[in-house]
Amino acid sequence: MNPEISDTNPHSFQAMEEKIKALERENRILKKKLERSYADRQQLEVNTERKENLLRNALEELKASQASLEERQEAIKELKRAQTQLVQTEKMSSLGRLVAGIAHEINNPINFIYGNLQHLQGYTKEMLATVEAYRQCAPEVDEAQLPVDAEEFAFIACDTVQVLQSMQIGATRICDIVSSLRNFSRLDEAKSKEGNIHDGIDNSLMILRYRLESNERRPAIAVQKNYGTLPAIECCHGPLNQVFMNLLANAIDAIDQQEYNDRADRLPEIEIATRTVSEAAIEISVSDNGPGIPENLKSLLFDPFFTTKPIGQGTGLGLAIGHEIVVQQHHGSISVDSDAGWGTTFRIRLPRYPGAPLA
Amino acid sequence: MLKVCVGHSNDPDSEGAISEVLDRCAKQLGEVSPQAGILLAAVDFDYAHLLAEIDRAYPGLELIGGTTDGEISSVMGFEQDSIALMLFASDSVTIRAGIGTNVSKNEATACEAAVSMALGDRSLDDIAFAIVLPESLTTSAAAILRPLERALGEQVPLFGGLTADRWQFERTYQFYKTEFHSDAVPILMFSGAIAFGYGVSSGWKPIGNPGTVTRVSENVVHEIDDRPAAEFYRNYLGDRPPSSDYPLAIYETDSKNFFLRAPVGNDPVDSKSVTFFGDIPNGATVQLTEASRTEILSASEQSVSQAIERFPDTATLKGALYFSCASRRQILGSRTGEEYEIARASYGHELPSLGFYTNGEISPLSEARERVCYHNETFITLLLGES
Repeated sequence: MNPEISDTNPHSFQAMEEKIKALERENRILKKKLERSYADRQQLEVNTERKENLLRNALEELKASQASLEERQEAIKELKRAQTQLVQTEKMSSLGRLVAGIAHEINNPINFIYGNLQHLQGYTKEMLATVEAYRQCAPEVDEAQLPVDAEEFAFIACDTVQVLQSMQIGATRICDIVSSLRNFSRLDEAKSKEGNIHDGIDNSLMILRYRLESNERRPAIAVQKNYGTLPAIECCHGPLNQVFMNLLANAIDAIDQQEYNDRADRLPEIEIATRTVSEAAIEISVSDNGPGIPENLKSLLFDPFFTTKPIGQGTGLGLAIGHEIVVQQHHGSISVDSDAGWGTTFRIRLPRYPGAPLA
Repeated sequence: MLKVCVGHSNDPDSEGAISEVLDRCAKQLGEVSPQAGILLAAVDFDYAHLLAEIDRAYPGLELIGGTTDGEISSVMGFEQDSIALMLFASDSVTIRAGIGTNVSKNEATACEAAVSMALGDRSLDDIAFAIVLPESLTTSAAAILRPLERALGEQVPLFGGLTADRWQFERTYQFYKTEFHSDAVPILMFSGAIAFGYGVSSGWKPIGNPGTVTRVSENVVHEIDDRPAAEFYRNYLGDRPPSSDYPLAIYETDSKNFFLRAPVGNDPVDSKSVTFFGDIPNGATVQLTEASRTEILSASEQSVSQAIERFPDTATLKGALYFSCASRRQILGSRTGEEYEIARASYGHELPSLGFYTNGEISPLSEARERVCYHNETFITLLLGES
C-alpha cells in the first residue's frame, strides 16, 4: 500500500483528499469542455451551411452582374456609335453647307470671269490686229508722240496674249476646284444613285492637291492611279467621297511622319487602285509607303475617338465614320493591311447595288 | 499609485472558481486593498455566490460586471465557461460604480440613476472616462446609449460592451456590487491620475448587392427594397435565420463609408422582420457583410496599435481591457485565442488584461467623430495607466 494514502496517516489522508478534489475539478472542467465542444461543433456546422449559402448566392449574383455588365458594355458601344453618327451628321452637314455655300459664291463670279475671258481674248486679238493695220496705214506718224514706241508695243501685244492665256488656265483650275467642291459637298444626299466612283476619288485628290506638293520635310507625293474598269455603282456618293477623302488624308499624314533625308530609294507615294471583284462587287484600295501601323493598334483603328495623332490634330472619328458609312450604310467592308516600316493599305469592298454579295 | 490585478478560473463549479480567482488576486495585491473591480462570467454560474464571496473578501468594493460569450484575461488567455476578475487599487485614482435597473421600461431614468450613483460627489468635469456593461436583449443599444450620453455630457468618453449569454440570445445578466440583474446598466467611472488610450477596428467587408431600407422601427427592420427584410437575408443565407456574424453595412449618405449593425438572431423562424443590436435609419443603403479569420485578426492588431498610439507617452501602462464582438468568436473558432495573443505580443511585457466577447461594443470612433459610438463586429482595446 502506498504510505502516502494510508488512512492511518492524517497527512496522507489530507493529501488524498486534495488529490481527489483536484481530480474532481479537472473532471468538471473536462466535462464542461466536452459539452462546449459538442455545442461548438453544432454551431460550426450551422456557420458552414450559412457561409456555403452566402458564397453560392454571391457567386450567382456575380454571374448575373457580369451578364448585366456585358449588356451595358454593348449599350455603351451602341451609344458611342450613335454619338459618332450624330457628330458626323452635325459636322458634315455644317461643313457641307459651308463648302456648298463657298462653292456657290465663287461659282457665279468665276463663271463670268471664265466666260468673258474668251470674249476678251477675241477682242484683244482683233484690237491688236486693228492697231497693226493703223500702223501700216500711217507710217508717217511721229513715234515720239505715241505713249509707247514700236518695240514696246510689240512686247505688250505679245505679253497681253500670254497674260490672257495664263488667266484662262487659272480660271479653268478655279472652275475645276469649285466643281469638285460642289460634288464633294453633296453629303446630305442620303439617296443611292448610280455614279462613277473614280469621279469621287478624283474630286478628293483635287481638294487635297496642295497637300501632295513638296515641302521642306519631304519631296512631292507621287500618286499612282491604277483604275480598273468599273461599272456604275449605286451608292450614296457624298458620304463615300468623305471616306475617300479621309483615307487619302490619313495616307498623307502617315507619309508626313516619315523621315526622308534625301532618300532617293523610297520616295513618298500613294497608290489608288480599283477593280471589280465579281459581277456584284468592286474594290477600292488606298496604299501609302509611310511607317505602317503597329500590330497592337490595328484592332483599335475603327473605334470611335481612337487616334494616334497629336492632340488637336485628330478627332479619332475619320476611320470610325468611314467604317460606319461603308459597313452600316452600304453593307460593304473595310479592312487594313499594314507592315510596320513598309506602309499601309486600306481596302474597301462595295456591292454594286444594295443587297448584292461582296465576294 | 495604481495597481491592477487579474484572476481567472475555468472551474465550472462556482465555489471552486471564485475561490481560485480570489486566491490569485490576493497574492498579487498583498496587503493592498482594492477599490473597484470588474467581474466577467459565463452563464451557468451561481452569480449570487460569486458576488457574495467577492464582497466577503473585499467589503464595499465598487464592482460591476456581467455575463459574456467568452472571457479573456492575461491569466488564461481566451476561455469559455469561466469567470475572470480585474481589481483596481489606487490612492490617486477614484473609481465608483453605479447601476440603473429596468432599463427597457425607461432607458432615461435607468441611465440617469446609474450615472448619478457612480458620480457620487464628484463633478462630471473630473471624470476621465467611464466603462459601461449594459443589457443587450431587452432594448436596443442605441436607446440605452442616447440617455447615457446625455447624462455624461460631452466630455466623458464611454467604453464597454453589451453583456452576452453564450450565443443563446435569451437572457444576459449585469452585476453591481452584490446584486445581479437582467435588465440593467452598470457603470464604472474613473477620475484622478488615470490615463487611457483606445482603438477600434472591425475587418468585415460588404458582399452581394446593396438594398434600401424601406420600412423600419428603430432596431427592427421590416422591409428592404419593399420586400420583407428576412427575405433579404434568406436570399444569401438560405433557410437559416439571420445571424450576427453576417451584419449589415449601413452606408452614410453618398459615401463609401459604412458602420455595421448585426442582427440579434432571436426573431421567430417565420418572422418577416429582422431585429438588430442597434437602430437603423429609414432609407439607408445596406449591404450584407462577411469576414474571414485573417481579416478579423488583422483588424484586432490594428485596434491594439491605435490604442498604443493614443496612450499618452508620459503615462505608465498598467492594464488593458478588451471588448470583442461575439460574432468574431463565432468566425474565429479555434483561432479565437489569437486575438488576445496578438494584443499580448504588442506590449513587450505581461500586462494585466481582462476582456470579453460581447453582444455589441461601445467606444468613440475617433476624436474627430461623435463622442461615443455603438459598434458591432469590432475589437475595442482600452489601455489604462497612471498619469
